[in-house]
Amino acid sequence: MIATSVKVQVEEDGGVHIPRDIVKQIGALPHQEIEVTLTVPETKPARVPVKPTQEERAKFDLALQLLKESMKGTNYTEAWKFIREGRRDRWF
Amino acid sequence: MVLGIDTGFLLLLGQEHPRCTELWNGMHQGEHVPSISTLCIAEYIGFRIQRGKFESAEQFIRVLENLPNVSLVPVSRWIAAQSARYRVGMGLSTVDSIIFSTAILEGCTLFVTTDSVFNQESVRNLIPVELLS
Repeated sequence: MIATSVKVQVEEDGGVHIPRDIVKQIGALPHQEIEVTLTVPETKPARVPVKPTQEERAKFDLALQLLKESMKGTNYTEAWKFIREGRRDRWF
Repeated sequence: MVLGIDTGFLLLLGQEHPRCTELWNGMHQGEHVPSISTLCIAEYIGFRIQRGKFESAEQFIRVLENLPNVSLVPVSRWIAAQSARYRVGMGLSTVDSIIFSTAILEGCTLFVTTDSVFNQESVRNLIPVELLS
């Protein structure tokens, strides 16, 4: 695959224009189909997981135990119904 | 894997859902890095308050926020502004768009949810979605 990367500004109407010389750089001909990938700006650098210690793994176990305890006597459907209701925008 | 966690994941994990348990075990082993919007915390505790049983839910959050690799992400200016764009562009509700923007900002490589509203092409184009059932 021949690829290049360029930063362009989004125009007033929300569209983008890819300069002709950039298209030429990859050797694309008029009417040829090319693939354009758009990336979201400002994402954080990927986090690298650390191996939890034995003590920290015990905290994971405690967290799971508390979560299960808090969900006792209920079921997913009724919980989700409550949450779904809150996700509706009411001012539109 | 950096996991974007939605509220439904927590609800199902509390009920020993096999896939949620598998992902949780991966976090336990240090294989996955979960990111959770603080709005999910509001939803989860809100449900328990409604039922009058929120002590263990609040204890759970206190333990959760001190776990290694786990990131509880507040709504920043960037998340708020970006969510407004997703709200209009993808037709998501305000809460959905904030939770989704959080996963994008955190660079999540998988978004785990039970909300079928995220099962749309415009969302999947930005982040792989696993819809739990």
